[in-house]
Amino acid sequence: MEILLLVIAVIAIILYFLYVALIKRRNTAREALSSIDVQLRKRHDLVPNVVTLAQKFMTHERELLEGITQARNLAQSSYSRDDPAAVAEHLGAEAKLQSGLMHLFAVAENYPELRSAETIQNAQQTVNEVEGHIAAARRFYNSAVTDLNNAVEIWPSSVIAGMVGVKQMPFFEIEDEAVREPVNVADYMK
Amino acid sequence: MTSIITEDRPALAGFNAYYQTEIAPRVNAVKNNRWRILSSTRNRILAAILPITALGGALYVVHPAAGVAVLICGAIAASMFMARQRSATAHDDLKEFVQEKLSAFFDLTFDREGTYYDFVAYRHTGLVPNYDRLRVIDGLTGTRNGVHFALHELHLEARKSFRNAGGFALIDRNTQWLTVFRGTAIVIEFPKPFSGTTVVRRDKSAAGNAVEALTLPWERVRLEDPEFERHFEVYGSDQIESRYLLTPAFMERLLAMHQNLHMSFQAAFIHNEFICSVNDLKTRFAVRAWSAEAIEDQIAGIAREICFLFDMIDALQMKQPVHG
Repeated sequence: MEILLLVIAVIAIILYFLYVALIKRRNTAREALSSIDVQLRKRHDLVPNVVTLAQKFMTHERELLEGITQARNLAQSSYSRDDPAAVAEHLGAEAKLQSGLMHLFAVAENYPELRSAETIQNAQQTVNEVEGHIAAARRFYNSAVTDLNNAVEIWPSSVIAGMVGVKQMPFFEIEDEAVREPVNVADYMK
Repeated sequence: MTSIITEDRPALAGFNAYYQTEIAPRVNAVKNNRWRILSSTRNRILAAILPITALGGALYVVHPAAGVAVLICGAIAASMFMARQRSATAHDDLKEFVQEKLSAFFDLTFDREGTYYDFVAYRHTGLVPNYDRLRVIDGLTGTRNGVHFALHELHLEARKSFRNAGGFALIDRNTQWLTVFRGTAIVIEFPKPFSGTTVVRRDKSAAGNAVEALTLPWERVRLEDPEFERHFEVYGSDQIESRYLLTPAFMERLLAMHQNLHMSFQAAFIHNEFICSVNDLKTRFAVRAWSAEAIEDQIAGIAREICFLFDMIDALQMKQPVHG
């Protein structure tokens, strides 16, 4: 009887530690997601300035500029951080916004006046900085999500995850091949 | 014209010609003066031995054994002291001259006092072990392609004291100084501002890393490059900033440096500077020989070390944007 109690106590302790590790990982992933949002907000703040500036010169690219503005609005909308599907949708919207921005800079190559404007050169530097921080935040988030997803998928913590409702979270991936390239706006503005 | 080094790098272009016109005459003078210095040293030793002999003789009358002992020990001590002093002075003069000339060639400043940096950050980040005594052997400051840097050769020692039966530390006669670091400390300005601390330390196996993680005030930063992770452990005060600084490209550069330096390399980002330490027991900027050939070899060695430093700064590409 005593041995049985001892075995149960040991199992309970192990389960408790697995639970703690799981919750810690989920919280780290949430923290990383918040960090990404902080960095993404910087990008959102930059978009209106870049678009306003571009509108002065890129009169034939109205569709593209409107698309970027829409993508920004979509990316800015609120979402539930506990819902993996909502998180995936939010990150997807951000990827689209980034893709749109990169497309804008690529097209700006055809507008020498825009490239030589002092304000756009300052904007380039800021965008580079912001994109660097976003990339770092994305690496932190993906690292945290890898840890969490491993714990959710691998037995025995997968059992506990199922019991307490901890789910896998989506990675922040860049789908667009152009966006996979290192971001250097200066290259587009030479 | 004899060449002392292969000019296989842009920084070395024209070095042999410069050596022949600016440095070689002094090196040859040292070689020619060698006998003069030795003869002067001998005269000084003889002058020092005379009073010792007188003292030893006087003592011999009273106590023969003590007189002989004073004579022998005194003669040996005086000889060693005089020879060492004369040779050290000659070598220091030459070293200073060579450093001055090399500085002019490479457009650098040799700083023998080591006043550029206070080394507190090195201890704080654990790039050097705890020490009680610090000696800057040589310092070198300069700019490479617009990047300011400083390099110092350090000799760090820790006090090893013995305890008496009552448990009190004896730090006078019984204190020993143990070398805990002998190598190079390099400070390179970093082009991007940052506010936290990121430390790149050598991997110490699973158990060692676990113990280290408990003692450090920073969080472990797990990076995605498995090769980098195999050689280094990264700790940082801000997970995102650490990743912002340690981009995949920068990790590759650090890894390449680590492979060149054979496991003795550690680095940190702190106070808007990139600092690194190389604990390889090497003395990089010494000129200490009597023959012209040996001195030439040492000068060529210093020139190569300076080129290595340049290569390192170029490899880190500090002036390039962190992202881009």
